[in-house]
Amino acid sequence: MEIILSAVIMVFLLVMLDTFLPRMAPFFLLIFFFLLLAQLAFRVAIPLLQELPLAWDGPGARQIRLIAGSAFLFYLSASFRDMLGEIGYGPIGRLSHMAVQLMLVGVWLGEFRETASVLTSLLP
Amino acid sequence: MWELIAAVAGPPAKLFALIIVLSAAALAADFAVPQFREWTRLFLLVSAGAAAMGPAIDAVRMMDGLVGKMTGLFLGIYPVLAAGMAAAGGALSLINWNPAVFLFVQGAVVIGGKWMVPLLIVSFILDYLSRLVPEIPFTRISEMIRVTLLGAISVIIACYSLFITATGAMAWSSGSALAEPIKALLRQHVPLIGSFITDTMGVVGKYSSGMAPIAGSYLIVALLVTSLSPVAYVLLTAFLYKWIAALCEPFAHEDLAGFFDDIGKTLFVLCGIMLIVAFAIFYTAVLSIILIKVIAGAG
Repeated sequence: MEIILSAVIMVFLLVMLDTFLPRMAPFFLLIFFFLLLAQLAFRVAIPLLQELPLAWDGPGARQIRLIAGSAFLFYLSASFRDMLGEIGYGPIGRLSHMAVQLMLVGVWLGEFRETASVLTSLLP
Repeated sequence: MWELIAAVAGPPAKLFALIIVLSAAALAADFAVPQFREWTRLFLLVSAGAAAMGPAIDAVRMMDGLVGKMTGLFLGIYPVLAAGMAAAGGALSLINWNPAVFLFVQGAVVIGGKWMVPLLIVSFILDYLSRLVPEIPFTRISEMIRVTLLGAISVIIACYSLFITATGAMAWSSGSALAEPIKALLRQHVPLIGSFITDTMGVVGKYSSGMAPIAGSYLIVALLVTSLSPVAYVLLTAFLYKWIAALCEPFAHEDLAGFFDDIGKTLFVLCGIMLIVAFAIFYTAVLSIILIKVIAGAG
C-alpha cells in the first residue's frame, strides 16, 4: 500500500520535473525507478522469498526456492532492461539481461547435472 | 499382498506429492512473471524429470538383476539338470522333454537382458529428451522401439506356447471354463500387454495342471506366485504412472503429464519382458522338481 502511495507521489514529482526540467527527466526517472524497485524488493519480495522455506519443508523445497528465486531475478532484470530501453540505452539493458540469464543457467547447472547423471546412470 | 502394494505405491505417492508442489510453484511463477514462462517449463521438467524417473528406474534395475540371476542359474543348473534327467531316464518319457526348450528359454532370457532392456532404457531417455526439447522430437523412434519390443515379446510367448503344446502332454484341463472370462477381461482392459498376460497364464496353466499330480498343487501355486510377483510389481508401477499422469493433467504442465504417460507405456512393455523371465523361472523350478521326484523314484 505504501509502495502504491509512494509511486503516485513519485509520478507526481516526475510530471512536475518533466514540465520544468525536461532534459533532466530521464536521470530522475532512473533514480525514482531504482528507489521504487528497492522498496519493492526489500519490503515485499525478499521477505516473501525468506518465508518460502518455512511454508513448505517437504520434498521439492529446494526446487521451489530455486524456481521462485530465479523468477524474481528474471523479473528484476527484465524490468531493468525495459527501463533502460525506455530512456534510450537499449543495448546496455539487453547486455545486463543476458548476463542475468547466464547467471540463472549457472544456478541451475546443479539440477541439470543431477538429471543428466540419472539419465546416464541408466545407460549400460 | 498388502506389503507388496505398499512397497509399490510408496515411491509413486511421494512422487505425486512432489509433482503437485512443483506444479503449484511453476503456476505461481507463471502467474507472477509471465515473461518467465519458457524458463519455468524447462526448470520444471529438469527438476521433476530426475525425481519422476525414480520408481521406473527401480523397476528396470530389478529387471536387470533378475535377468542376471537367471542367466547364472541357467549356466549353473542346466547341465546338471539335463544330465540328471538323461540318466534318470523316466523323465524323458514323462514330459517328452526336448533339449531345444532349454536353449530357447535361455536364449529368450539372454535376448531380454542384452537387447530388450537397453532398448527400453533408450526409449525412456528419448521420451524425456523429446519432452525437454520439443523442437527435436524423438517420439516416433521411441514409439517404434516399443512396438518392435512388443512384437518380439509376442513372438517369444507364442513360441513358448508352441513348445509346450508340441513337446508336452500337458492338458489345460482344470478350470478352463472358469478362467476364460477372466482372460477376456484382462485382454481387453490391460493396455498393450493384456493378451500377453492371458497367453502366459494359459501356458503356465497348461504346464502347472500337468505338473500338479507330480509336484503337488500347493507347491505349484507357490511357484506361480513367486515367479509372477515381479510382473505384478512392474504392472502396478506402470498403472501408478498412468494414474499420476491422469491425476496431474488438469494442473501440471502438459509436457509433464505426457512424460508420465510415456513412462507408463514403456513400463507396460517392461512388464511383457518380465513375463518371459517369469516363465523361465517357473520352467526351471518345475524341471528341478521333476528331476528330484524322478531321482527319488516317485515319478
